Order: sequence, then C-alpha cells, then structure tokens
Amino acid sequence: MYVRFLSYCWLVGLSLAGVHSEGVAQTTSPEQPITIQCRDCEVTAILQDLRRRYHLNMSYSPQLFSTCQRVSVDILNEPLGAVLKRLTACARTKIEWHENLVLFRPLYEYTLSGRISDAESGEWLIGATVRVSDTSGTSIGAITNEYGFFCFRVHEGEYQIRADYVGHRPLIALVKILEDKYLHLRLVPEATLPEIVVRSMTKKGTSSVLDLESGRRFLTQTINSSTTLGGEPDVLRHVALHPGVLAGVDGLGGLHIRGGNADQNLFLLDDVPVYNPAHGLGLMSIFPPSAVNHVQLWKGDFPARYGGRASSVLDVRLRDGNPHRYNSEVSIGLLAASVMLEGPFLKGLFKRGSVDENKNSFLVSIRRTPLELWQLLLGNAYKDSVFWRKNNIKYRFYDVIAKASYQVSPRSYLHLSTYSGGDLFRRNFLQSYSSLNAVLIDSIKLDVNWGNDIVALRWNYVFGNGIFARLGLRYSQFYYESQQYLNSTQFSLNAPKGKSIGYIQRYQTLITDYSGHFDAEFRPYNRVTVRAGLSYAFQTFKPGALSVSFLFPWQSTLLTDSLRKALSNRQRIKGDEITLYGDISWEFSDQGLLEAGFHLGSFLINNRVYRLAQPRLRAAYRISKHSKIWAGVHHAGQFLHQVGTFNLALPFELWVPTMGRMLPEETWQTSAGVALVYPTWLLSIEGYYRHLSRVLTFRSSTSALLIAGAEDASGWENRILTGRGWARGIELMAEKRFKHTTLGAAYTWSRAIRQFAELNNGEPFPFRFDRPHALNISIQQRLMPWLEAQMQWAYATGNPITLTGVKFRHQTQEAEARPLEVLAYSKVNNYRLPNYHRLDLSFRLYFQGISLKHEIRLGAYNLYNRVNPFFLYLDSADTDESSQKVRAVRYALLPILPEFRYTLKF
Amino acid sequence: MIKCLPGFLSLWVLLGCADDAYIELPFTEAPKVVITSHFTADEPLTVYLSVSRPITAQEIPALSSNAEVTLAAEGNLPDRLLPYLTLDSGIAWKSQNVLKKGVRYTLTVRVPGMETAWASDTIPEGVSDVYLLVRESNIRFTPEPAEGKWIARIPISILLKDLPHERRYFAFCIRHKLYKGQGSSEVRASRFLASGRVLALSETTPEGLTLIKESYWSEGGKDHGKLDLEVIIPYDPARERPDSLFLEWRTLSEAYYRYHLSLATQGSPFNDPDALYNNVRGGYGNFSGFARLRKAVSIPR
Repeated sequence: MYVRFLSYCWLVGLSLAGVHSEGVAQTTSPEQPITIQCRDCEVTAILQDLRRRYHLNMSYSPQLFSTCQRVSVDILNEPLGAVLKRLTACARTKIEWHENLVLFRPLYEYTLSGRISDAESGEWLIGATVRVSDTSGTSIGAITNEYGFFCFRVHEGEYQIRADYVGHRPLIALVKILEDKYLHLRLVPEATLPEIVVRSMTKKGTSSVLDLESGRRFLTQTINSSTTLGGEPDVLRHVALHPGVLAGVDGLGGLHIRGGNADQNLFLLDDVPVYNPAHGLGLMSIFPPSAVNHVQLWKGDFPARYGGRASSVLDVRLRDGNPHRYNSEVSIGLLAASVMLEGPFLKGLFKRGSVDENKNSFLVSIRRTPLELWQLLLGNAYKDSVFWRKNNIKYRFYDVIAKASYQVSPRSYLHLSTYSGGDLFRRNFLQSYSSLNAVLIDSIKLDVNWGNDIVALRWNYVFGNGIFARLGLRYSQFYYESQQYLNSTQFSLNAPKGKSIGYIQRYQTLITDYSGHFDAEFRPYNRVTVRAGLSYAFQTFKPGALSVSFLFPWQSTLLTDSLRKALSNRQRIKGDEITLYGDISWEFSDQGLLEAGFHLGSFLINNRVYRLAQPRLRAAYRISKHSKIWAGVHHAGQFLHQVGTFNLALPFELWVPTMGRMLPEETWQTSAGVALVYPTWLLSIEGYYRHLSRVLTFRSSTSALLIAGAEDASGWENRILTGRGWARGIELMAEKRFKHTTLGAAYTWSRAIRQFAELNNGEPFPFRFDRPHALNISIQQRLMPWLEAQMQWAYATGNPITLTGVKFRHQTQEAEARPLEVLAYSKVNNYRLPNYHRLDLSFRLYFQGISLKHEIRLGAYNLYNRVNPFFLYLDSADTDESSQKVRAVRYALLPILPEFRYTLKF
Repeated sequence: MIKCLPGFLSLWVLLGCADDAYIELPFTEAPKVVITSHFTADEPLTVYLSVSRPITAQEIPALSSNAEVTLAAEGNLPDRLLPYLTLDSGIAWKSQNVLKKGVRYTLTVRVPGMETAWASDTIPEGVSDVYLLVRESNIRFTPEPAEGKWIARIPISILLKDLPHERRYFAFCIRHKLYKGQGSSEVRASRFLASGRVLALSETTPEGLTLIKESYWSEGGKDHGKLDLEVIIPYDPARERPDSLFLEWRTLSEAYYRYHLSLATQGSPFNDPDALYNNVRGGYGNFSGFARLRKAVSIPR
C-alpha cells in the first residue's frame, strides 16, 4: 500500500510538473518501425529526437535516466518497443503504452518476504539461505531468521527464487512481483532413512556475504549423530566439542567459554533465559534432543539483541511440532527414558479463507532418568554390601516440555512454550577415623534440589512491507536448595558415650522473572538489515546462605527447621531491568559485511540504578571464493551473578543480583579469524583476547562455626570477593568429508587468569577451568546404509588445583592453643590434575518397518576407562615416605560407561 | 543374568568414581626453619621453632640444638633467646627482655646446614579501650531437654572506644567462669551466637580466637565500632552457676591478621584453600605482634 501510494504521488507529481510530456496527439504502437542514428548521445537526447521525428507523445522524468551512460545507436527499421526497451534498460523503468502516450515510469519497489519450512515436519528452517535473481542475472541473498523468515526489497518484474538448506533439496521457483508478496516455501528433505547427517561445507546458492555472519549453527542431525553419554544425544556435550568451549571435567562445573565463568553464558530456550541448563550436575543438558529444532552458539561477539550475560550465548529453539500428522518417539537409554508426541491440533477448526494449510501443531516431550529404578534393583541386590551401606545415594531428574503453535493467519503465528524440569540428589555417608585411644565418626548428609520452570507466549507477525515483528511474554523460575549436615562424634576413654559437634550449611536460590519484549526486523535496503527492540523484566530474588553449629545431636533437627524457615522467610529482593537494543547488518560490498550493535541495559534494585552500555562492531570479508576473514570487538555485561565454589562435597549455585558490593560484571573481547571453506573440507583459525571486570567468587570457610553459630541468614554477601580476569586463546578447527567418512578436529590453546585482592596474596592465578590445550578428534563413518559409526577422542590439559608438598606445625605458647598442621600452599591453583583424555565409540543402527522406525545406539563412553579426576584428595596419613609419594584419592566422575539407547518412532 | 544387568552396570559406574593412586609430590624442597610466635607488650618473646617437612612425613624432625636464635630491636643490641622446656615437653625459645609497643623486632634463626630464617614485625598500638556491656534485660536461662543441663544466653555488646581509620585487624575470645560452690570455680571458653554477617566476616584461629575481618567495621559506607553477640553457657544448675564473663580483645599486626586469614581456608575438603601468607624469609611460619586488652563483667544471678 505504501509503495502504491508513492507511485501515485510520483505520477501526480509528474503530470503536475508536466516535464517532457509533449508532442502531438498520435496513436503510438510498439510495432512501429523506426530508424535512428546517434553517436555518443544521452538517452534523453535520443528520446527527444524520436519524439520529434515520429511525433510521439512521450512522458518521462529526466532524472529517471540520470544514471545512464552516453550511448551510440545505429538503428534501421526496428520496432519502436524493442528500441525503447533496449535504450532504457540502463534505468529501472517500465514503459507503459497508452493510446496516444508512451509513459516511462520508474519500477515500483515491493517487498518479497516469506518463510521456509520443512515440507515433512513443518518445522521452520532456521538459517536457510534464499537467493533471488532477476532476468539480468543480478542476485541478492538472505538467511532465514529463527522463525524461518526472510525478506527482500525488489522491483516489479520476474525473478527466480532459490532456497537451500542443508539436507534438503533446493527449491527453485519463478515469481512475478507486481505487488508485495509473501511466500511460504517448503523444502523437501533429501533422505528420511537412514538419518545420516548430510553435511556441506559451503552453502549452495548463497550470496557471497551470507556465511560471514557471526555465530555457529549446530544442526540437530549433527547433534544426534555425535557420540553420547549413556546413549543420550546432548546439546551441551556436542557444543563442548567446539574449539573455545570447555565443559569442566566430564561436564561437571558448567560450560566455560573463552575463559568466562559458567554464569556468563546465556542459555535461551525459545527466547527465555535458563539459569541452570543441566541435569546431573552438568552431565546432561535439559534440552531433550527430540524436541530441539535449532541451536546456535556465539562465543562472544554476539548480536546486541542478546543481553544479560557477559561471555557467550547459546540459543536453543524448540520444535513446533508436526502440523501435518501425528508422530511419536519413545526411547529408553541408560541415563534417560523419554516420550515425545507431536501433531496437528484444531485441524479444520477456525480455518480461514486465507490460510493455505493447517500449521497448528503441538509437541509434548517427557523425559526422566531410570536410575532410580536401577538403584531400587541395586539396593535389593546389594543392600548388605559395605559399599551400599556407607554410600546411600539417590538421584533423579525429569523434564517436561509442551509447546503449541497456532497459525492466526498466514502472516501471524502464536507460540506457547512451557518447560518444567528438576533434579534431586541425596547422599548420606559415614567416615571414620581412629587412633590409639579415640574413634571419630563423621556422619555427612547432602541434599541438593534444583530446577527450572518456564512459560513463554510469543506472537509474531509479518507486515506487508516486510517488517517482522515479535512480541513475547515470559515467565521463568529457577530454584536451588542445598543442605549439608555434618555430625562429628568422638568416642574415647574419657567419653565413652561420645562427644558430638556438628554444623549445618544451607544455600538457596530462588529467582522469578516476569518479562515482556517487543522487537522488529526489517530491511530498509537489500544490503541492510535492521533489528531493534526493547524488553522489560521484573525479577525477584531470594538468595541465602546460612550455617549453624550445634552442640547436641538432637539440636540438628530443630536447627535445620529454623534454618529452612529463616531462609524461606527472607524478604524477596526485587529488581526491574529495562533493555533497549539495535542491530544493523550492512553488506558494504558483494564480499563484505559489517555488523554493529548497541545494547543498553538498566537495572533498578534497592532504589539504585545500574546501567550497562554494550557496543559491538564486527567486520567480515570474503577474500576469495573459498576464504574469508573477520574481526570484531565486543563489550558485554550482566546484572546477575552466580557465586560459589564447586567442590566434591557440595556444589552450590548462589545466584545474586547486582547490589551493594556486587557491581555488574563486564567483559571486553576482541577476536579475529580466517577460514578456508571448500566443498569437502574446511579449516578455520580464530584468536581472541578477553578482559573480565568484577568477576565474583565465593570464599568459603567453616572455621568460625567451631565456636559460634549464625542467628540469621544475612552475611553471605560478605563472603563474596570481587576481582578481575583475562583470557586469550587460539582456536583451530578442521573438517574433511569423504564419501562415507567425515573427519573433524578442533584444537584450542588458551589461558584464563583471575586476580582477587583477597586471594593468593593478591597475585594473579590460573582460573579453575584454565586448560591450555584442548583437542577433540572425531571420525564418522557410514558402514552400511543402515549402520553408522562414530569415534571421538578428547584431550585437555588437567584442571589446576591448589596443592602443596610441604607442611609444618603451627604452635604457640598461648594457653588454649592447639598445635595445627599447616599445609604450605605457595600459590592458588599451582598444580594440575593429570591430563584429561578419553575415547568414545558409538554405533547407530536404523531399521524401518511399514510404519515404525527403529534406532539403536550401542557403544561406550571412555572406552579405555581413563580415570579423569575432577577432584584430588591427598591422604597424608597413608603415604610412602621413602619414595616421596603420597596417596591420592582421585574422584573421577565418569569411568567407562556403556552406551545404549533404543528409539522407536511411529 | 539379564535380570541382574542393570544392577551390575550401576555398581560398575558407582564404584568407578573413586580411584586410589600414589602421586609424586608436586613440590619438594629441603627442610626449612619454621618460626611461630605471636608476641605482645610487657612480656618476653616466646618462639616455637620446628622444621618443615614433606606432607608424607609422619614424624616431626627435631631442630638441631645448635640453633642460634636472636632478636634484634631497633636501636638495641640483639637479644639472644634461650631454649626452655615447655609443659608439653616441647622446646621453646624465650627472650631475656620484655617487649615494647611500636618497636620493630627482627628474629633471626640460624641452624647449621639450613637456610637462615628471619622475620620482622611490630606490636601495634591497639585500641585505647574496649567496653564489654551485658544487656541484662535480655538474659535468658533455658532448660535443655537432654543431659539435664540449662543454657544461659547472655547478650553482650563489645564497643571499641576508638576505631582506627585503617588496619582494623582485631581478634577476640570470650571465656566464662562457672561457680561450683564452696569457693571453687572453673573458667571455660565460651561459644556464642551471632548474626550471619558477623559469622561471615569471622574466622577461628588455632588459639581459639575469633578473628574479625576488617570489612566488618564498615557497613553501608558507615563505620561503626560495635559487635553484638549472644554468649551460650551450658551449665548444670544443680552444681554450677554462671558467674562472670571475660573478654580478651586483641589488635593485630597485619602479619598476624593475614596469616590467620589464609590459614582459615585450610583443614576442610569443603573449601578451596588460599595461598598461605608467610612473613618468614628463608623459612615458614608467622612472627607477629598484637596488643591486648582484657575485660571482665559479672553475670547477674
């Protein structure tokens, strides 16, 4: 409508101006033969000559041909129409033949927009490439956004449109643009069985700048085909194979990207931030593979529309569900059992005339660990064993995803996503120490409980002029509770009844977010994409950390209850966060792309406002057909922090907002890289430097509890230390694809350092997850049409820990002094655990019946049973003094673990 | 067999989590002299000397009897310390002169065959006075359901007369006297309850002192010199009666404070240890001064 209005104005203006609309009234025909000669003339001069000689009535604006070069013509008895078409081809004009008038008018500009989906599953194809070519061969390209949306500004005329997506047949179609057009393109998958990953190093049919964008996309097929833990494909574990991403030890401790803390990663599930994205203390992500549509990772340098974290972004999009037919998937593995159901709903109901087909769909996924069942079996079988008596372990997790998508109109969709998941870990055990005249028995109970609940209602609409608008309302809740109880009883000759002392520590985090956001994406020009938006979030926090000691065992119950009450009765801290952002992407040439963004965040808490301005600039350039370079600088920050230590006994997550002594964390990152991308292989290298300001850590101690106890839940803020850090690294990635084999390697050299005034005597020290060398090698081999094998070898430098080989006795003359064996730690994190490495092997078998598809995964994680410790406990009481060796108990998380998973799809 | 498979697999996983191994010591070095001494004014210096050793060592190696231990004070001739037998049959070295505030003392230990160790520190000036107030109206005596005891809960406030602008390095300990009738009594170390903030900002030293971190004395941008506690005194009402409270308030030197702060992160596998603060050159340990104030109040019946 807007374009038509402009066109009308142009015509009215033209007629009012009356420019070059002269001549005598005479019927004009495009078939009329004409003869004209002119050497080095302007187009307008030739037109005037024609008008004069053939008494033609022409109307045009001279500005219309201002971009045309001077031409020479030598025409003898050619049709007028063909001559005029050739002459004016240099300008975007359309010739309209009226009875007594030849009208030259500019071509109208229209919007060609649409969405691309999978023809079978109905899922939006995110990151698909679309290319539009006109009759002269000029083409422009675009990549679909997270709703499969693309948009072009094109002049009226005929175009060829081509859409590509990995693993799908290209779709080529001719479109005639005479008005704003909105298309729904459906790409047909190339193969449905076996579900072998179809990889392509280059994106066919893309314009040169399309793959210059930041961020790394992960296909769900690729995630499903990688080696797994216990048979369960996992998003986080797959992402951790990428250079620059470290997953603690066997996943324990969260993801650490380019030297950042685990809390500096923004995990998004359908646009909703997830505070804890893992089950099992990091062993497995909360994203069920069967429900995931698309995953994209930014290791810094992320678009300005993302905010709230300082290090990286992992954007996970759930599938909408199949709008055409009902599908189910049932699987059972060693670590998880799941059920997934998807299909259309309200099919045929509320169908409107303009809705070309049903796109209403739902998806439900339920997953639960079967370990509890195993433990039940194990408990019956081994309940009398010493191991089982001393280690009473209980663990379970679950997650439920439900999503519904409703097509309001062809241009408008409504999505409702919900997630609910939780973990429970309990461990009770006894430790005893004995000497000649006394026995000390420690009873330790751990109880950890955490989970996320998410609801998101999102509406998007494509306006006629190609503006893609999104509106979202979100609710998110994260809870974490942990409790550690220690009762130490000493039996001696003097106290045969036993003398007890004990303490309880309790941590809790409760975060509730209510938020809304609106943003819009549009292309004012074909080479410029603008995305801007704003959001508001009302957040409440109830963090708490409390310890209490007790004199008598019977006090423990009372104190535990009072602790729980004290923490749960704490007043919630309320905060308001407003963010405003703008992203612009400019293809400054056929080979170059410039991305700039600005994210402004404002956080109001306790009547104080904190602000963060986060600019971003990145340039990428294709230096040849198969090579590209890029460089960028990025500033990011966050108002929310996770503090805590992660040790053997009690991992705890204390999420706290910016307030008081805790100021916003900030990072500056610069990075640059080069990549060679050929059809069958790729090689990329990227370097980065990151500076972190105001990083936090928690200084834990229990010594004060020996003589005192806490009365209330205040004080945890005072154990938080603020420091700084820096990280640098080089990341290499190589991949080679043969007919049935894919080889991949990812290597990272990196260093991550921290410095706190109150730790390590104020000196810098290696970050707990500083691992200078990390290497992942993978081989994927298709053995049979129905059989695929994957092998992966992972290596990383051992994590640093604080150890010493020297001790001495502290003894003073004071009356109540007790001699103390002091370990002479010279520096923090001065020793490295043994290097980490493991080999995984996995086979995937596929069978298909008439209506059933079977998939079986068999294999082994950590095939050669490498003990990769995440914690080392030195037992100086049991040592080999002569050889200077000390007995160490290495606590490894994952020994050799069989992989098994059976999946049935119907 | 198949029925037991899940059980076997789970056991395999769970047992595989811990693994014993002997590892090389990360750092080995020749034994060094260890100096541990906290000293205050108007008392002679007492120093415990020992030798560092690998953490594999079970026995504490004896220090050579030929050790030469001298204490140098600014502007004075060195004082040679003499060994003496302690109550626990150990050996300590004692200076011949008493120490004074504000004087920088340097202790040097020379042991044949070992690196010479030395350390310096000063007894700080200390706060001029401290008040111990018992909030009598809030005192509670509550019966405990077990063991036939009662608990006396005595709220107290400790007020510093002059809080220094910097170097707020303090520690304290509280003791109570239980009157046992017929003129006999017993003094015991007291436990106490405190706010979460006090607990978060305090550590316990091997001497039974509670060390208060310097950030405690500033809250919300304002300084204060007050510490509120509730002293817990278990007693047997049939035979005992809480009689009085004793407060020992110490102003610490920086070396004293930082050493014990770093020491507090040790001893528990639940904590990440910090690097040990060491002010002994050529050796290990701590040589540090403190100023002391003592107060006593009676507990109302």
